[in-house]
Amino acid sequence: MTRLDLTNKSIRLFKPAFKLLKLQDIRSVDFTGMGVQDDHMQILASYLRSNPNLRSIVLNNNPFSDDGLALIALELKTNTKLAHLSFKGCANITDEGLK
Amino acid sequence: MIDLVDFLNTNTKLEELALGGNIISNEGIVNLSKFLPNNSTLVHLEISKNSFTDSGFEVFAKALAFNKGLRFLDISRNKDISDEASLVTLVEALVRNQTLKTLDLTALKIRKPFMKLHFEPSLRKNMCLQRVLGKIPPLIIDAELETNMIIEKEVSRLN
Repeated sequence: MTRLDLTNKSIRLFKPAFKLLKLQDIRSVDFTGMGVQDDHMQILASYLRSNPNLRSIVLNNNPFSDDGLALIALELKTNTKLAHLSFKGCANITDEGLK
Repeated sequence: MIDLVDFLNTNTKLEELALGGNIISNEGIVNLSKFLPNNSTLVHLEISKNSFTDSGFEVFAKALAFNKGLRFLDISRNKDISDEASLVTLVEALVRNQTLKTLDLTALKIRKPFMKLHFEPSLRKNMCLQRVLGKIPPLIIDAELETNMIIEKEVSRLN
């Protein structure tokens, strides 16, 4: 398995998904429309800190805000593996979050 | 016991084997452990209430790491195995074993430090174990067991 697609799945699958990401060699994950909030972004950030082999993260149509985005932006400064990041249609991201 | 092991090494039909309440000794359990890497059809094994001790069960526990069939293992009521020796080997085997779903540890002496220092760290690397039976210190491994349940029921099948 190299791709995990959780599009429109319940947010309660979010945390368990990281165990799968850690233990299997998954390169691409899609969290579209799961209801990902800022506190969930903390889990993603701490995963990215370990510089995993993950190449692609899709976070489209989720309600996290600039604060959540900042958490992963910080980790991406040192992450050398991620090549694709998408957060289309995230209504709570403002110009502030893109600074 | 030797004949039984020969049988298990080659048998591809038997799914359940109940050997509880016997007098399986260390020699017996060591022999029995030999089938574990070779057999993937036996899914249910009961070896509760027997006479083997830590040294014998440790050999069994090591071999369990290489088994790809058992989903249920009952080692309850074996009064001579403890969480200071062979049960450590058992939970370490769970890092490699990715088939066992239920483990019956009823009436074994298991303390909180064992759960925290050995069981929980092993489970973090295991995606299969979902139920542990017995009066063991609760909460410490519950989150991992539940995560494994969710992964099997709802995450794995998406792909």
